[in-house]
Amino acid sequence: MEQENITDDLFDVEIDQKAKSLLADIARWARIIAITSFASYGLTLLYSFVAVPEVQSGLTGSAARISQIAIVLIFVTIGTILNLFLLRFGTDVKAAIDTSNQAKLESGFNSFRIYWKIAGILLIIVLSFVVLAVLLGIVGNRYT
Amino acid sequence: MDQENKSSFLSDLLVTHSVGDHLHDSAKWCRFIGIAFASILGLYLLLFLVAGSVVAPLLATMLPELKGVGGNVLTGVLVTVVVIFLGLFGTLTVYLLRFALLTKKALEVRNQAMFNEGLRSLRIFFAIYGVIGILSLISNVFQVLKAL
Repeated sequence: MEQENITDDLFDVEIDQKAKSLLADIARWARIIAITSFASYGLTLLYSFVAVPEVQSGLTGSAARISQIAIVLIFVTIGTILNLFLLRFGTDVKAAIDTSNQAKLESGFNSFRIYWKIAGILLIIVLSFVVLAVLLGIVGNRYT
Repeated sequence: MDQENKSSFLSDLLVTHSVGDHLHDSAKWCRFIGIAFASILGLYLLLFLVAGSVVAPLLATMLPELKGVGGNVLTGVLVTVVVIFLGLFGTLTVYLLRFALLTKKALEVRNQAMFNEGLRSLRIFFAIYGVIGILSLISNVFQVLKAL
């Protein structure tokens, strides 16, 4: 009976040797991507602190610097949160394959789902801003 | 025999409903992102084809260091950059879409070969993405060293 319940809970698709080897590679690349992203964010932060910003019209030197650092901080925070899920996916899937741990596999794929969901939502937000900017540009051109 | 196969299969990692649902959701978002990127790349290509002849002289006026470079050379460089950009991001988009479509379909029709093919596409996507990540990290290091 219990055996029946377990098999009912499956998709008839397994993590066979081929899938395991592919997943191990995917997990390795996921960790590489996350770690290089963290390093890039660190360097971007460092760069925003050491680089002299271009003074924009209407902004004093220090205001330009503060606004530049604030924008960089927002991007770095969002990127770090996003890549933490990718790192969790890579780490959990690697552990699942190494120790045949089903719970780790589920946790890894949950992080993978959250990663793509956040990326998709961010893409929707960015595209909305682009569409809004284009519309404002068209309206602005018509009335000037 | 069937029972034996099933128990050997149950002893290792499984695509349970929980894992399947996570993969199905991921595939849906990947498909959306892939379609959005394909549309953006298509628009970019269209824009380049329509306004490409205007972009090269505009670039020369915007970047004074390119003033001495001939118009044909500048156009050639621009075309090369656009082709590399479109080729790289186009390949990434194709593999992301392949992963999304194959995984979704494999889970629906319960096809092992299709599932593995989807994972192979994801591996290629992550490998290209990883190489781009490493290259951008190296470029960031040089940028910071230049600023210090």
